[in-house]
Parts: sequence; structure tokens; C-alpha cells
Amino acid sequence: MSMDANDTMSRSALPPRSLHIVCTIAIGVALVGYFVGQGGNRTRPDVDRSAPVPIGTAQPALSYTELRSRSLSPNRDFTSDLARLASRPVADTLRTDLAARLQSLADRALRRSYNGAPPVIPHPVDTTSPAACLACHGDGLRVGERSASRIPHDRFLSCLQCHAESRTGVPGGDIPPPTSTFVGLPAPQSGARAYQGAPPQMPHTSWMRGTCLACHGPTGMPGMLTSHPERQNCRQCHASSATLDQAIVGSGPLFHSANEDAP
Amino acid sequence: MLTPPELDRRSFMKGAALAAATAVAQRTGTADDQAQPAANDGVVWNKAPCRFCGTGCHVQVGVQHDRVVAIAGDVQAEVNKGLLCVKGYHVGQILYGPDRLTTPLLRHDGELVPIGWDEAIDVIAERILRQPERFAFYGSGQWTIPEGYAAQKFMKGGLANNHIDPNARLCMASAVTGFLATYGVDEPAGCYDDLDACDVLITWGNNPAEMHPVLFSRVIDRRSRGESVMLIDIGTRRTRTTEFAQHYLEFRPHTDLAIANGIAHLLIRDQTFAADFVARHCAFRAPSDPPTLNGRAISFEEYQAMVAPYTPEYVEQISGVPAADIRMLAALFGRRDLRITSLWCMGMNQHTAGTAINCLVHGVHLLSGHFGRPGDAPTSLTGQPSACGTVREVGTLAHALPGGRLVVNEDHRRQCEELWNLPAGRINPAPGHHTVKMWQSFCTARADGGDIDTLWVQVTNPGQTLPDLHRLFDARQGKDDKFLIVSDVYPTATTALADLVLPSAMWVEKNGMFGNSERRTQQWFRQVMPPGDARDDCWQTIAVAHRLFELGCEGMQDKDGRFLFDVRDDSGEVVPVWDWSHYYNVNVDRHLFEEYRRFSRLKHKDLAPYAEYVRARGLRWPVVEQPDGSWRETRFRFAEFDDPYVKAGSAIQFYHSVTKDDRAQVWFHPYAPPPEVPDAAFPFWLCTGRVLEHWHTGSMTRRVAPLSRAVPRAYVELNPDDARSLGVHNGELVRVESRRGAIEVPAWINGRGRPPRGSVFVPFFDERRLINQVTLDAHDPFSKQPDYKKCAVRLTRVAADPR
Repeated sequence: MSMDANDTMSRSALPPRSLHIVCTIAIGVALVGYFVGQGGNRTRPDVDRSAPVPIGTAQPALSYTELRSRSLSPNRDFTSDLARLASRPVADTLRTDLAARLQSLADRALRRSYNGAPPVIPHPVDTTSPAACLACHGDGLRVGERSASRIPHDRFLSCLQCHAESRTGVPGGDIPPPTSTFVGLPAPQSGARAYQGAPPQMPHTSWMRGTCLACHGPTGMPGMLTSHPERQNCRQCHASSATLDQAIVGSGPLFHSANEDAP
Repeated sequence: MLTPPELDRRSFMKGAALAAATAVAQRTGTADDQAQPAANDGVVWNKAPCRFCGTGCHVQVGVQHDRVVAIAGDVQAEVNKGLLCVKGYHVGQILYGPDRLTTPLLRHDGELVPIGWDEAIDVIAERILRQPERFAFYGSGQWTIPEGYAAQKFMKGGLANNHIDPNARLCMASAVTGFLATYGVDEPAGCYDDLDACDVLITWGNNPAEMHPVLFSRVIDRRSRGESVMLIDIGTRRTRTTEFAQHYLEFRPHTDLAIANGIAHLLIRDQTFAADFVARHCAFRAPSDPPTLNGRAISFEEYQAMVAPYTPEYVEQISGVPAADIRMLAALFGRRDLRITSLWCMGMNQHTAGTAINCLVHGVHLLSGHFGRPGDAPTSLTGQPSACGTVREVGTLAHALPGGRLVVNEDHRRQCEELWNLPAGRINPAPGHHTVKMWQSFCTARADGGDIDTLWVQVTNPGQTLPDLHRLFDARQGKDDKFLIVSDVYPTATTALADLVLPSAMWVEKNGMFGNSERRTQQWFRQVMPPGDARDDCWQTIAVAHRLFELGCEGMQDKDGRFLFDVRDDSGEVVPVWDWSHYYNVNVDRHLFEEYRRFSRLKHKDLAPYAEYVRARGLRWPVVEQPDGSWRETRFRFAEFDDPYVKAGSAIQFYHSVTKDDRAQVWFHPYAPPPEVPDAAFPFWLCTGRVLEHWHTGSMTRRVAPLSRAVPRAYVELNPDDARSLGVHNGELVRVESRRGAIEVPAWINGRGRPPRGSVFVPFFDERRLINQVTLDAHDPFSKQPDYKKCAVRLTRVAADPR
């Protein structure tokens, strides 16, 4: 259209007044066209959305680790409960690492009165339905350096029956906990081996801890992970403990003194 | 002969295998070789029932170097099948509070000062000897069976004094009177197996998700196995149990009687009641004038006329439960193809009409025929580990004798005198003081008619659990002629006012036996030594008895002049069990239990020999000897398919029927308002109770960090609308005040339990805030059990900061 205007102007000698009008119209049309073009045409049917975006030109998405530090405008004041969870190192390696294992055992012991006690819940619980617990703990979850451990036992429906809340909503609940002289059984640091090179035996019960990969798989803790997660049948090689599993059934009951009159 | 290439291949293979093995060993060995050996070494495991509630879970106790170091759910236990609750998993820690009592303490000039055991035993014996009739024993549903039996024999057989009553009076006495009035004999006919079979579970004023969590998950976990279980929660506030319920029927406090009558009315009106079952097995009863436990017999027509006014609309008017929900309940009970189990505990028992509502719920089950098949059962639960075993079966109540006998019954007294080898006429025929009366007498000066001067408390904490504490406990202060003896493991609200404190061994620091809610008798052995000078409660009783014997107290001898607790070894030699250094030379528990067992046959509550309980994770009575010498427990009482005492061909037989015709009684009781209702001055209902993490007065659980951290203090649950109109924000300090007393606790709005408008809830575990200074001592006329679930209070905002 602007080309037409220039052509007209060059070919005929019109009076200056007409020229001004023509120029104004031409500039106005050009400006409108420019801004319409700049605004993009969202409804333009001829754009091919399936065409690949050239590498390096796409807007990078935020990573989960950045989510906490970046302030996104609509949710700028939102604080995630995630931030209130204690962070816990995530195992990135399958290597056996004693230092990491000892650290993991120490972290683990903070949430248990003794080895074998159900861990306390380290975060506030506002929904007590099992679905709420399973949302994160069903298959385990990793977000940044925080992880939700996977449930190592069958799915029961009343999670708070066994797992004590460490913080409830009881008002004025920040009273220091009582002291105690109880010393809980520590967790074993490794399983016994029949000989060097033999697969270690399970040093703990498999009761309520039957899903081995919950702790020894990807969402487990450093130093405790299996070096061979591809193998599915753990108990093929790793023997369980009949004593710890309370599995001995004989003529007499298990765990009883031989002499019934024994004090 | 091997050719060179073969040799080469073999040696290569061997070398490769060795290298691989070495590599594996090195890879996996690096860490483990430096690690310490397994921590499980030297841990000895043994069974014990859990110390807390009446569920009766078994735990495995891990002991190392004479200390409990771990707990595991016992997978061989039928009750809990390897599961526990938060309290059970931490039960081992209750032994290790830093303030365990380890030496006897006697009050001198207001201060408790350490004394020796000999002096302590002397002090008690001398006080009793001076005036045996003014002595009373206050015991517990946490007493082991042998402890309760020893106390029972000491009081009723030895001192001819019936002033012995347990804290279980405050806990399940109405369940007892309900069973007696309905079946003529105490304790549930069904058992926990019903929970595996029921289609419908009805909780009557009950919150098993927190109070009996293992039983609750035993039912609810069936859903995750694809079974369908309908849960109907009939309650006065929303609880964790409600979250799992399909139906929540919220009723105004005390109106549960109207609901039960409403169901009965519809069953009859719609002809959906079990006419055949009722015709064969039931009779009808109504209250008499004057009121008695067995009331008066009525005809079916009279019964029909009595329940007729309880139309769904009338019930809705009284209770606030929609008429449609009453019809829904009645329709369910009208279906014989469904199995319906009812559960209840303190909601129905701590009730001024506790006997009545217990009878009515049994009545609904009988009328509808939901009885005597697995899954069809009215089952009352107990709150203490041996409320059934020690209190109800041993009969450590002011009116009872062992094995379901009564002090007023001459035959029963004679039987006990014979079994105890006592001179005829030794046992006092007059019932002693029940709990409220006992403490009232103790807190009343002698000049004003208080006839109890010396009171011995074992295994319980009445300074926190009695209702209306100011009147029934605190009033003891300043009465110097009164003497309070307390055997306990920690300092409590009760030891605070004691004149003599005796340090006790607890749980696996002693041998013991408990009896749980489903008639299951359980046994355990001592597994660790008690701290310091702490000693078994049972020994304490026997030691006092022997000191009295030495001082010439005639009651401590049987008719042959032998000591009341004469324990002999296999060679027939007397073992001086009153001397602590010899107490564990024999198993005193076994001796006492074998003696007690002989009382159990009268009411067909047969107990097996002690050794059978050593082998088992508990056995449910009647445990009947089989022709092959084995012992068989009974799961479903009164039902022919399981109960050996039911006559062949009778299907159901109530063989202890009060009417002697094998029939159970279907009762009518009218709804009547409770003694105290909210009014303009005190406009709120107050309900008290427990929470999941704490057990009873918290003297044990408050000393366990994971439990105490979860619920560190008492609070008042408040409806948000009430909070708004009072101007109270969450966490602000609120004064809860009744006509009797007041406490200040922070408000918890939308907390764990959610009371409706006009109703508040305060847990009773917190020693620093005693809600029982607020509750009232009004009690059921038959069971004498007080009502902790309802009284009128007013609330005022005190301050913003609870600290």
C-alpha cells in the first residue's frame, strides 16, 4: 500500500495539500501495520506449532531447585510447606561409602527411639487421610535435596496409629520434651557375612520392612543403597534373620524361657 | 590325562574366578570390615502384653545388659498380629524416666524423707492393726491378676474388710452391670474375631482410632484388602474415627438412650426384629420401683408399648440425630444377612445412665438377632490392661468375691472360705465402700463421720482421675488423723499428698498376668530388674500381711494357723516370700494363679493352668480341658458352635440367665435428662477423655519424648463459631469453669477433635492442668460409676499467650 502511494507521488505532480493528505494516510496505515505486526498474530492459521523450536531459543523452565529461590509474580508471597521440611541428603551414588552410611544412620536415629521403632513424622500433618500420606510416601519422592521416603510395608489405612507426629497443632506445644535414661538399640551398621565375599544377611527384621528398595533403592539414604538395583529378588541372596523375624515355630513358643518357673 | 590346552583353560578359569571373587570381596568388604558388628548381638527377646490399654496387644521386649532397648510387635499374637500403636512401640521407655521412685519415703514435718522397707512395712502394719475396719485398699485395673488376687484375699479373707475398690469403678463398672442385668454374667460374649467378620461396625460414643488403634485398624485395614466395612460413628464430637466413617450421627450428650429406643421401636413396628430368636432366647425387663439391677419382668406387649413413643421424629427432637438416620440404623439392624458389631467404651460407661445405655445396646442386638454369629456382637472395650482380668474376674470390687461371687451371697462367702481354708463366717457380708464413697469417707474428718482413716493406693493415680478432685481428693489436706499410702513408680498428683510412698516395680520388672477386653488371660516374666529399692506391689501386700501375722493378727492365719499366703516349694518347705530376698526363689505369680484358678469354674470362666499361658499369647476363657489333655479357648460364648457349655441343639444358651431359663433380658429404659445440663450461667457441655499419644494420667507416657512431643499439654477443643462469639483465637488461654472448679488451658480450634457448637473437650492426661477439678461426681445408681463425659461449664478468655 505504501509502495502505491510512492508510485503515485512520483508519477503525477499533485498540489502540496493533496500530497500531505496522501502522506498522512500512508504513514498512518504503515504505523497501524507495524504495531499489528509487532503484536503478533495469535490467531494466524498458518503458523506451524509442530515445527521444532531451534535449539537455544526456547524460554528455559525453572528447575525444582530454583522454585524456592525464584519469586514468581502471582505466587510471590506463597511459602511452600516444603521449605519447612528438614532437608536430608539425597543419595546420588550407588557406591558403598561407610562415612555416608554412618551419617545416614545417625540421621535416621534422630527420628527413632530405637532401631525398629516406627519413625516419627518430622513435618506437620494437616490431613490425616492415608491418601495424603501416600501422595509423597507411596512411591517415594525427591524434590531438590529433600526426599520423602517410600513406605517399606503394606499400605495400612491409619498411618498415625504407629507414626507419632513430632509437631501437632496443640497450642503452646513448644515445651521441651521430657528427659529419659532410655537408650535405644542402635541400628546395625551392616549385615553379617558367612565369609568374605558372601552376600550380607539382613541385619534387621523384614517384618514391616519388606519393600527392600524403599530404603536401599533410589529414594533411600546415602551409603545404604544396593549396588545392584536391577536385581528384583533380594531374598534370593540376602538371608533374613529368623530371630528378628520371630519366624521360629517349633514345639514350644519362641522367646520363652525354657523353665516356666524362671523368674 | 590332561592335554596342555586343557590345562591352560582350567588354570585360566580358576584364576579368573579367584580374581572376580577377590574383586567382589574388596568392593563390598571395604566398608563392612571397618563397621562394627551387628548391634543385635546379645539382645534377648521375650513376650509381654503391652502395659497400656485393654486391647491386650503382645509385644516382644528386647533386653540387653538388664535394660529394655527395643520393642517389636509380636507377630504370633492374635490380637495385634505384629502391629502396635505409637504408645505400644514406645512402651519400653516408660521404665526410664529420670525421676523413678527408688526408695520408700515417709512424710516427716511435711517433707517426704527416705526410709527403709522394714520401717515402711511396720508403719503400715501398725496402722492397720490398730483399726483394721478403718483401713481401705484402692486398687486398679492395672494390677496384675496375682496382685489383685493377693489384695483381695488380704482384705476380704484376712481383714474381713470389704473396703477394697479399684479405679476400674471409674472406667467400666457400667459395662459390668449392663452385662449382669442382660445375661446374668459379666463380660462380652464375642471377641475381636468379630472385627474380622462384621459388615457394619457401630461405634457408640467411642473413638477407637485413637483409644484402641490396633483394633480400629484391624477393622479398617480390611478395606485395603478389598472388603467393604461400613463404619457408623454415633458420637458427640467429630474425631479421627469419624474420618473413616460413612455415617456420622451426632447426638446431644446423654440422648443415646433415645437413639437405642428409637431403633427398637422401628424394629418392632416394621416387624423386622428377629421374632424367632426373641421367642427362643429373650425375655423383657423394665426398671422397677425402687430401682434394682434386675428390675421387673415385663411382657413383649408391655415392652412394645414402652418403646412406641420413640418414633424417629421424637428421637430426632431429643437427640438431634435426623429421623432418616434413625430409620437407616433400624433398617440395618433389620437385615439378618448383615453382620453388625457394636463397640463402646467410656462414652457409654462414664454415664449417669451407664447401666441403662449398656442394657439398651445389648437389647438392640438381641431384639434384632445380631448376636452369637461371628461378626454379630455387642462388645464393650476396656481402657485398662487388666480391668477384666483383675477387677471383673478376681472381683476386686467392694461388693464382689473372686470368680463372679458376691459378698452378700452366703453360699458365695462359704465357697470362698472353703477355698481359702478360712474359719466359717470370716468374710464380712456387708459390701464395702465403692470408690466415690471411699474417697469421700477418707476426705471427711473422723468427727464428721469419715470412717476411713488409712488408705493404700496401688498402681493408680486418683489424685488426677477422681472426679470433682477438690472434694474427693484435695480435701484430705489438713486432716492429720488420715494416712495415705501410695505405691507407685513415679511422683504423681497422688504421691504429692501421700504420707508414705512405696517405690514399685513396673511391667517387665516383675512377673505378671493381665486379662484383656476379649476375655484373654496373658502372662509374662520379669525381664529386667527394677531400679534401686523398687519392689513388686504383690510382694508389698504379702509383706504387710506377714508383718500383721507376726504381730498376731488373727485374720492373717487360715483355720489351721498357717499364713494366708503360704507358699511352698516342690519339697513342701515354706518359702519366706515375705522376705524380698526370697521372693523370686519361687514363682509367686504361679502359686497365686493356681490358687485363684479354682474360683473360676462357678461362672464357667474356666482358666487353664499357669503353664498354658506361658506357652500362649494369651487364651480366652472359658479355657476347657480336652480329652487329649490339651486346653481349648472359647471365642464365642453362649453360641453352640463354639462354647462347650452350651447344651447341644440349643443354638444359643444364656446359661447364667437371671431368670434361670437360659434367656437374656431385653431391657427398656426411658430417656431422662442428665443431672447437670448447660444453662445460662454455665452454657457449655464439657467432655473429657484421652488422646492417642497419652495413656490415662500420662504418668508413663508424658515421660516418653516422642509421645510427649506430639501432645505436650492439655487444651480445650472449641467449635470455631463458639470461639468467635467468645472472642477467642486459636492458642489463647481460656478458663474452663464449672460449679466445682476451674482450670486454664489454651484453646485448640479445628484441632484433632471437632466439637459441635455449645460443647468443648479437654483431655485428662496433663498433671499440670487437672480437668477433674471441674468434673462432677454424679454417678450411675447401679454401677456407681461417675460421669466424666458431661457437665456444664463456662468459658472465659484469659490471655493471648498460653505461656
